[in-house]
Amino acid sequence: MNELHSIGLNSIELNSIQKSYQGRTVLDLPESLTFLQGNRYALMGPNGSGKSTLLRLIAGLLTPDSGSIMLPDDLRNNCGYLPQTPYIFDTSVLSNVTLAGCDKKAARDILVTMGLSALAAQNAKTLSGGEKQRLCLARMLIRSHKLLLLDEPISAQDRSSVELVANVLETYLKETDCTLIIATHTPRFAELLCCEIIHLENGKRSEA
Amino acid sequence: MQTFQELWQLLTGPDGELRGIVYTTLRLCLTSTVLSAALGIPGGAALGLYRFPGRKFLVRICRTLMGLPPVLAGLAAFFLLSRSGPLGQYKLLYSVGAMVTAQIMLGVPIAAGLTQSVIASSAEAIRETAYGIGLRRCRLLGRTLHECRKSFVSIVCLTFGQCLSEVGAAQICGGNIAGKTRVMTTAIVLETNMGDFKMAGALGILLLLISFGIMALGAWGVRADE
Repeated sequence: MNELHSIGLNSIELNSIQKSYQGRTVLDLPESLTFLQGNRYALMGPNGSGKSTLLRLIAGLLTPDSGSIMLPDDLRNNCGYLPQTPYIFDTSVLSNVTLAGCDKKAARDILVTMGLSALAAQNAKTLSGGEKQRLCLARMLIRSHKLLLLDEPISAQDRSSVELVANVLETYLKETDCTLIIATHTPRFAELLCCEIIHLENGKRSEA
Repeated sequence: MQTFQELWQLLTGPDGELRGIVYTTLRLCLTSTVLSAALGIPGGAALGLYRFPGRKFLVRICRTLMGLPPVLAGLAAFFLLSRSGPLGQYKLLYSVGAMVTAQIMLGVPIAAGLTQSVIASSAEAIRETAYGIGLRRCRLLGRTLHECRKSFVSIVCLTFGQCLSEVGAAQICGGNIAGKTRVMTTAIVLETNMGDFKMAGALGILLLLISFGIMALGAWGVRADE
């Protein structure tokens, strides 16, 4: 079975998902996996454990080789996805945010929240890795989503910036009641934000 | 030094032959470049951005034609434009128009192939990011092209360089007619055959200076954008 269902329920349900790249199985979840709406989940595991693949499958950027993904239309149409290496547009920091479809005032406000207001007029390509990551997050959080899929959003952040990002996300999640699935290598970040941690190893679900 | 002085005198003196050659060269190369870019860049963008049946085959054809020998392009244009050819009725052979036709055959694959490579390398990341932030599909195309604008300048410069430097196609389709289709590269060949190596060398240096000027203009354009 290789299909992507869309149902009217409030949860995301993955049934017996399998995905391979060039003959190598990168994700193999024989059991079903359910993400309840409004809950927060962290995907943890070493590199190559299948976290990003799982997020890309839920986002609809990949289709599973077998199994099914049941994603409510409401969530599918209001899904925000932050790739591991998001593209920074070759324009100012402010324009990078307004590209997401908001006015300049809202963009300036979120840049203040993310500690990037002083860099608003600067070309976004010249930012540091951590600043770029916060810009991408700002670009994502400018809109109201019902499902947020974040692939290692703090991998380039220092300790204080991790706290900042966690606080900003906490406020956003409280305001929007959206479902959060986040892939991270930082246990503290996962504990700060999420109610459930899913461990993956070699494409399979594992115990912590 | 003496050669440069002679070259300068020929360029500024009463005999306008060299000025005519330079003018024909620039007219030919600029027309070919503009037309090649106008056809090749959108074609390459489509190959880089969209997935459709036969795309891989077209990319391979494009890659193959990027290395098309100018003599072969000239020969193809010659057959196309000769009296018995499919476009013979337009009587373009041995005119600048025929040379432009041959150079378009060389320029379009270069412009299309390079555009495809540039766009394909960044399109996936842009597409994923655009999807993640909810950027509309129509804006995605415009944004992707905008992101690659600096590369387009380089592609146009490279296409111009190809048109400026080729000699085989210009010789076959233009015939190297003095005052009509003689361009700098065919003039260099002629001067070399006649044993006037000084003049051939001077023309070569002038050709390099023109190429340098065009490339500097391209680099200035990119810098101005930054």
